[in-house]
Amino acid sequence: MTVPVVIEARKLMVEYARGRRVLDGVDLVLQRGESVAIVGPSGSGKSTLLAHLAALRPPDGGEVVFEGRALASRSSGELDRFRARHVGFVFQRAALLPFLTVSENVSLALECLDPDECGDRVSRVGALLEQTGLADLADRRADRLSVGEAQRAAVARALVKDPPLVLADEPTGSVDEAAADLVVDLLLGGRPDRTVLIATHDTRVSGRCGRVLSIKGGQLV
Amino acid sequence: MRIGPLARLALRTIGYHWPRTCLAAGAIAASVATLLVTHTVSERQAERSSRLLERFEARYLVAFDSYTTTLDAEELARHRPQLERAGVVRRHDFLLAPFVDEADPIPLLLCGVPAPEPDELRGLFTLVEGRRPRPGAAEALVERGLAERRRLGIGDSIRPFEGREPLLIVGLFARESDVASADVYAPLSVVQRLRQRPGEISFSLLEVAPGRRPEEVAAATAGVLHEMRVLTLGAARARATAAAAPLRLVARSLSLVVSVLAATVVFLTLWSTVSERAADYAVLRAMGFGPGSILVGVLCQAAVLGGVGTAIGTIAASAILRGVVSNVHPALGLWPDGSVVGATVAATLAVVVAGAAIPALRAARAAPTTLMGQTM
Repeated sequence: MTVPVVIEARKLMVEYARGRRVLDGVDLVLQRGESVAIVGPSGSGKSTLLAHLAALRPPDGGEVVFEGRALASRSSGELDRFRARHVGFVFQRAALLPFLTVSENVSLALECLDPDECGDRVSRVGALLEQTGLADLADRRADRLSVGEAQRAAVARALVKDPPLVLADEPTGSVDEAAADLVVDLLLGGRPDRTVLIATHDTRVSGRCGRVLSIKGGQLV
Repeated sequence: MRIGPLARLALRTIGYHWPRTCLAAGAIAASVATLLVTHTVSERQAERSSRLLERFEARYLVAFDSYTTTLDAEELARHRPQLERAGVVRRHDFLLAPFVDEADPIPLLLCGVPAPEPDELRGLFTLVEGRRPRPGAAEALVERGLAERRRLGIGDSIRPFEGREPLLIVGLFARESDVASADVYAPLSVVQRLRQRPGEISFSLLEVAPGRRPEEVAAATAGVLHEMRVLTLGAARARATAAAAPLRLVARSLSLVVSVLAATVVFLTLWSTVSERAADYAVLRAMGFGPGSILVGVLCQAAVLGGVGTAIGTIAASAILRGVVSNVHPALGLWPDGSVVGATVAATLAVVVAGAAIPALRAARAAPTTLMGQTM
């Protein structure tokens, strides 16, 4: 039985200033339900690859195809909807809005969806906060959380819309081991058909993924 | 994206940055209060004077010596036959006498009213209590607000000129807010007696013959009364408007300066907020918020600032008009005009949008990769 491809990078090329190629013809196929770790030294292009898979910026060459359709063929509004519906993104820093509470930060991800797409917001947010162990902190403002708590809230925010694709950029880079384990548990422990791509330096994290890819000099090796 | 969540986000953002929010709302409030107070003080008085003259425009010419001197009614009486030939059928002489009451040191205006009085005069005020003074009797009508301030009622007396006979208050009247009027009305002969100048008048309204327009008889009448000024009320109105122009210019310039300052403060406030919150906008973009949503979100912040500032400014302006201006100039009224408040709100919205436009565009252009910069 063939497992469907969720997202695919074809000959992806990204250049930064002075013609330096951060990604140099990257080919990557992510199938439904698999968890993949990308490892590599700093500056090797891990974060850039994630950013382009999430259509946060257009590539200089090649293309990204999501569920059979190239992202480059979509309008700006369609790309916004693509990110809103299909992608959960976790940043290295939690990047919560500091003036919102934990539950408000999490439910913010649902604001871009139509009401019939997200069902009962309160129960969805409540369930995610229970899963992430943040139920007791639901009403605490984000700027009063510890780093580990904030990162769990960021994971809850990425998962609350139940996306088929989760992209995590060094999600454990700023938390201790215990918190890192919990974050990875959350990322990998959801629905079985979810595709998860984690950029990481942490071998304990990559060791828990189904596949490990290494990137060096802008190329997968 | 629905506006509700964006508005809530805007509220939380400006609440988080409350010191600068207070500064911006204060600047807007100062702008609104300045607009309302300066308009009321400068424009409303000119408008009220203009509307007063407008009431008499259709049937009268005005004859006077100067804006500051009086004349003798006998001078007009001598020319009665020539005036009739020119098209004037009746004279209505008035004497305006400013006075300062020792208990209320604000200049007040006593108006000596002829008998019979022009029909148009009755439209200037509404008798709310008592009756009108009898011809020749030392009786007066007093404006209701003045009576309340002085705790005067019907049966009490008022003494406009120290050492001279008092006037018995026989009625209270209410002003029409959009027309200038005196504070006290008494029979002309009584006011002349109080001033101890028989025959003294400030001006005379010359009623033109039925079927004729004041403009038609103005030239001939001016020829008869060549030693004094004769104007149509339309011309007098134009002169009054022109005379008020410098004050209006000062008021408008002040309003413009304050509005520009408010727009600048709004701009700086939102610019610094947007600069600090660049990472938040990047997160929102990564979550699927479009540039339009983020732009609307920042404009919502501006709208909240504008709404709060306008509300505070309107309340402040009302307090200033009620507590300060109304004491200095009782005839102006206590509240800003509804139309002026509406225009001020619209102008403030324009100011706030002008101040918010560039920060909002900057926020909308936030690159969603901003947060990844350190790791890319």
